[in-house]
Amino acid sequence: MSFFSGGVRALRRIRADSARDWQPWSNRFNLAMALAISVVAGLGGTWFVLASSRGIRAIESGPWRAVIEIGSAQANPYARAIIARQGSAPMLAAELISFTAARDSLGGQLRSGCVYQLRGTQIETRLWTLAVLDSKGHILPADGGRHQITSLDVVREPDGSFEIALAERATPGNWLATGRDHKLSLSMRLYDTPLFANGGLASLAMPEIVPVRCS
Amino acid sequence: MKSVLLSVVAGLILGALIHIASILTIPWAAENNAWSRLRGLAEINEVRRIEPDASGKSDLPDLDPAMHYAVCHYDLARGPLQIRAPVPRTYWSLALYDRLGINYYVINDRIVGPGELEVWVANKTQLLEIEPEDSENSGTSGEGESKDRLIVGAPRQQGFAVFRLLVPGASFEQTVEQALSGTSCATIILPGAPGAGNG
Repeated sequence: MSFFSGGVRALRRIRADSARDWQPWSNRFNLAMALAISVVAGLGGTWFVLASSRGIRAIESGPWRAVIEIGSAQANPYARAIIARQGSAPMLAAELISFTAARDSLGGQLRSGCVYQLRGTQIETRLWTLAVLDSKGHILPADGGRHQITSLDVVREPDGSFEIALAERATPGNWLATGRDHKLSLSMRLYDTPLFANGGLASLAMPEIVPVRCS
Repeated sequence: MKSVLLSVVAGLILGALIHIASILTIPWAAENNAWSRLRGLAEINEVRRIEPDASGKSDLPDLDPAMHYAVCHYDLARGPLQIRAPVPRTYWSLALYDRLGINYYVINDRIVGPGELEVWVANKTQLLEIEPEDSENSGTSGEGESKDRLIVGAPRQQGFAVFRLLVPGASFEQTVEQALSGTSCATIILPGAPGAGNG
């Protein structure tokens, strides 16, 4: 503590003396600079980690990203700080792996005015759920359209693959409503999946999000 | 110039320490973590439904709109926690978290099968009191199975339970309703525990 109060005193003195005997390379200046660097770098680094969810193990497949081990006992201090800030309660990866995508497969921001075609193959999981959310991950306001679908009610091809249209208006086949005037994100959750335990995550192919057209 | 370089290096080292200290403090200092939120919503042991809500007003963030949720928070200082839950014939899971939001135990309907489930959550001392004959293995693994109930060792005194339940269609609403309304969290008063037997 004396180190810090010493620093504060040094800063005060610098301010008081600056007009008279400002010495750019004096010890006081160096101390003040060291303290300023430490606070900016230390707290700035903490802010960056919390804001960007960096520093935790994640897997990516196309535009999809999932952080894993975030809520487990193996979670590193970054993961623990991130869930504390979010106030979330993520489940163990053996029970739930939660993917999100904010962009289509070509890199464009997902948004309401566009039509997308989701093309997925069979995923090795007991159950998956897919939801259209806003860009902050909040559910869309009720507008009569359907914003979520699960592996239980999706209509598949004989080979297990499926296509889901994302559009403002209903289309034949699997369809999710994109609402109006939203920046969107997609959340696809794999429940009770063996992928984490059997090492299948590395080769997991999440659905493509193909942009069809924008109005 | 040498002294400037030295102070930059000193600043970066001190910055690294500040960074580490702040990251380690956040889980304990956060007033908005899941446990604190749930504590503000309900009494201890009270089972409460939470639902995903538009525009981020949900009680917990990142809820799956396909799921129905119920939560209860506990404090083992008063005694072990007893959870009773009817397990429905649809995806259902019980996840136990400590107060820092670490998910230390999870079980689902595929593992336990449909029917009535009873789970006891206890700290290390309580584990020994519950099953003296099994003490040699319950103490280390923190998890043992008996005939009627699961016994789970908790890493911290305080925490919460989250029940997740899939609604496969409108016709299942009643099943869901029954399952969630039949779910309870309660404190067990162990014989010999302080305060036991004088009520």
